[in-house]
Amino acid sequence: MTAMPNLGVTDADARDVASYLDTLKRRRRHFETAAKTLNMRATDHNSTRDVRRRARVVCVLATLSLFAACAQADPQKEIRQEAQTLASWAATLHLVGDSWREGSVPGRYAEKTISEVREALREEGHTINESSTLPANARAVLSEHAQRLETLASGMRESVTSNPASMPQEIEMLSQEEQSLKDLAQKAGAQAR
Amino acid sequence: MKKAIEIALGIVTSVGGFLEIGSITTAAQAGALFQFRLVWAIILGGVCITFLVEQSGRLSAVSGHTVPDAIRERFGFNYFLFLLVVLAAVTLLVLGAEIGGVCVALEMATGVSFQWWAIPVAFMMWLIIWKGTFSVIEDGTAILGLVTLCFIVGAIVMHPPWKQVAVGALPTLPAHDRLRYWFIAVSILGASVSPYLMFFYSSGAIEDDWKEDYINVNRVIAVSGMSFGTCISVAVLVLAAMVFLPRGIQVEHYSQLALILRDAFGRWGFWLFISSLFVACLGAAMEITLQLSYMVAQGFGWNWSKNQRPKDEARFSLTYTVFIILGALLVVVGIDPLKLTIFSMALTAATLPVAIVPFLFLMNDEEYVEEHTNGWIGNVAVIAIITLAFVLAVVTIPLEIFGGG
Repeated sequence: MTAMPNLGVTDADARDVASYLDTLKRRRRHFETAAKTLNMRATDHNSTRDVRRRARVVCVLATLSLFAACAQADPQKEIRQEAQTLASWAATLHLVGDSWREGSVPGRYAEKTISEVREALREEGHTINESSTLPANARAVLSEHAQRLETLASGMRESVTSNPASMPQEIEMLSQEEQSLKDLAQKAGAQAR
Repeated sequence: MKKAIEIALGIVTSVGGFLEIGSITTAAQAGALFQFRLVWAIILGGVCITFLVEQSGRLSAVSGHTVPDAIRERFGFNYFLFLLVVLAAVTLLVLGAEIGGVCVALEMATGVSFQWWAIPVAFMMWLIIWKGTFSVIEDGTAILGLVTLCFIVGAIVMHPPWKQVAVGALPTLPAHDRLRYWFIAVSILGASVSPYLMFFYSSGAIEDDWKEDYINVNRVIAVSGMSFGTCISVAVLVLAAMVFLPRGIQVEHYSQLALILRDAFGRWGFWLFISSLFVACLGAAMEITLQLSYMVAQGFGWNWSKNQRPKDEARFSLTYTVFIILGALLVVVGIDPLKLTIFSMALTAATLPVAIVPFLFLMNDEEYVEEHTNGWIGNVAVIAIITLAFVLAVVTIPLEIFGGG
């Protein structure tokens, strides 16, 4: 007597059921083994992906380093660049002043542009003073130029708004600044690596 | 006769639509710093966009699909969504730059800061799009855009050394500032090969009800329009090389650009430049707004057409309203329009592969273009553009960091 109820299963059926259960058990084992293999492959795949990811990171870093190396600051190059930037602003002031005197541009445009250039010169002055790659003497020279240009810009703005007579004198002084900055840029360019 | 008028209008539209804030700025910077050395970049960009625009027009005329619509159908919604997110993000920045360009033109004319103009300009754009039909918007801004031909006249008046300009059509490296040179080259390509331009062109073909018999019309418009547009960009570069370079002016602020036509036209030069900047940027801003909205509507299967009343396509109308507000906000917060332009042009270059790769498949799929699939020249051109796009995508960000100045 057992606790199992009588299900009305014959011996032959019971053998079939048992063998089917055994097949299922084997299949389960097979699936487990397959799953383990797949898991291992996935791990391998993940590690391959890791390697690829690392390789990509290395490539990106190498590219960035290459660009960084190309862009590495050479003091002479930086002097040239700063001098050119200041000369560019000086030339802008000059052209705006000339255009305003000729009546080619309206006063409000001239006034606004001169103010914007003055602001840009102020920022440029800060950049020069805070630069760690510029040699001290070059920093001082460039900073002086920036300051003089800023003062000239203020004077020009006043000329546009209230005192047109002083504009020619300011433009003359601008020309001198421009020339001096161009010379500085050229000299630094010749010495650059 | 009808087709001749359409061709003429199409060319005018392409000419007017080609020049925008990005092409003006990048060409002027190139000329001011590297004289004629970057003419090749403008020509290369012009050739690339000519191929893409011709093919997108052909796709629409034959299949009745716009490019975004066909991409969604052929590559599935997930890819479309990815494309939409990437392009919408970048194109929104370009929209901000174009609205900024309109505002800067008004600032130069009035002396009132550009931020103050952002909301009135946005409202004006919205009103034109809301009230106007597609032809009014497209042809109106294009005809006004003919004022940009003053750059070509200006360049001729300045008597540049044409031989040197022609030599600039072949790439040569400068002795100095090579990173900056490459950064500007990439920005020029980003400004010329804009996915929005080809997507807008294909939507326009559907709006104008082009059919298969428009294939030749499309070809003439694409080739002539883009060639004239390229000539205007080259003219801007030539003018900058003649006016700014000898004086040592590097273009770092929009206000400097206003003097580009001064030597050629005297007191008229200033106003011609302001008008050109205003019209070119306004036209481009409206095209970009419409393109962004077309793309969203086409992707989500909404009604879309500028020839219908807003109440018949409420979601489309809401979409362009939102995009205009977002674009204007970028200007209101005071982001420097010049920096925004250069940044967005470089980013456009970086995202090109996402938009152009699917195009190659579409143009070779007979289900879409029937017997008008690409020939070997078209395929070689698109493969070359894709290769270029991948190179641009890889180098743009490092160049942005180290060469963006």
